[in-house]
Amino acid sequence: MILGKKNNVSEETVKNEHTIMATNPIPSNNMNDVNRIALGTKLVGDFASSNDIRIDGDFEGRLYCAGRLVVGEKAILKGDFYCTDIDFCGTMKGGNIYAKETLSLKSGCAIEGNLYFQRFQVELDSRFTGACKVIGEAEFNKVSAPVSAMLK
Amino acid sequence: MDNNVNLNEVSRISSGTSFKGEITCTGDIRVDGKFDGTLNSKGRLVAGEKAVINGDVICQNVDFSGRMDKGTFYVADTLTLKGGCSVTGDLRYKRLQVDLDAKITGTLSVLKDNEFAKAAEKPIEKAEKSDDTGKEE
Repeated sequence: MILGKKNNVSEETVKNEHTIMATNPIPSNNMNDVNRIALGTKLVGDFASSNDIRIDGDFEGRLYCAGRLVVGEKAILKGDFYCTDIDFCGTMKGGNIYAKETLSLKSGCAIEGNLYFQRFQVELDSRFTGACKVIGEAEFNKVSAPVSAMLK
Repeated sequence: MDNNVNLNEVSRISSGTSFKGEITCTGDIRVDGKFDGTLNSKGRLVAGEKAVINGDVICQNVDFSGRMDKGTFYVADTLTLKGGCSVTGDLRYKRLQVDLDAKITGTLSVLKDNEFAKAAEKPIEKAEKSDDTGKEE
């Protein structure tokens, strides 16, 4: 009995190891799932994604992201942004930012515009001109609906 | 294609993403999602198998494995249509490479002298028509 059990356990461990081996390549796939607007690239228009986005270039328009938006130091944005979580290090020249959950302003960022969020974090040396308001999920879903509809 | 391309310098529209509008780009770009509009790039466009691109693509080089339902390619150097891709539209290029199983419907022509420069310098009006959402004053 005991031996049998031990054998079962070891088989399971082997199976687990196999699944771990099989899932190992996923991080590199995830890398491919992240949208990226590199430095030197400019997008003008409406953007909707179910994945994360990193912006180091320019964006003007409306952007919806069901995941995390990371805005790099050299990024310049203008328009309306609807995201679940946002890390912001760049420059915003007018518009609105809506975060379903956490909006995080990093040191060195410069924002002209209005911020709507559920949770808010600001580092020292963030520059921010505009209004702030706490919003709930229902309101977020309502304002983001026109852009998130692009995914359907 | 060079293997030493820095991935961080490549712009990317991943699968699960939809973009309507205009892209101007000094580097390379990879598209796996859905894109409607005008793409103007000084580098290479790589469109993955699941990519759906409609509109005008003005690029130095293109590797295309996806689908285009309506649009125009202006490719200053090499346009490569991979096996399994499907393209309906006009193709203008300097050099063309087509794999077996690439589905092409439309016109093919070699770029004339100033054609590429003209296409590159005036972004197409179609993109503007689609974003006139109540901005009239």
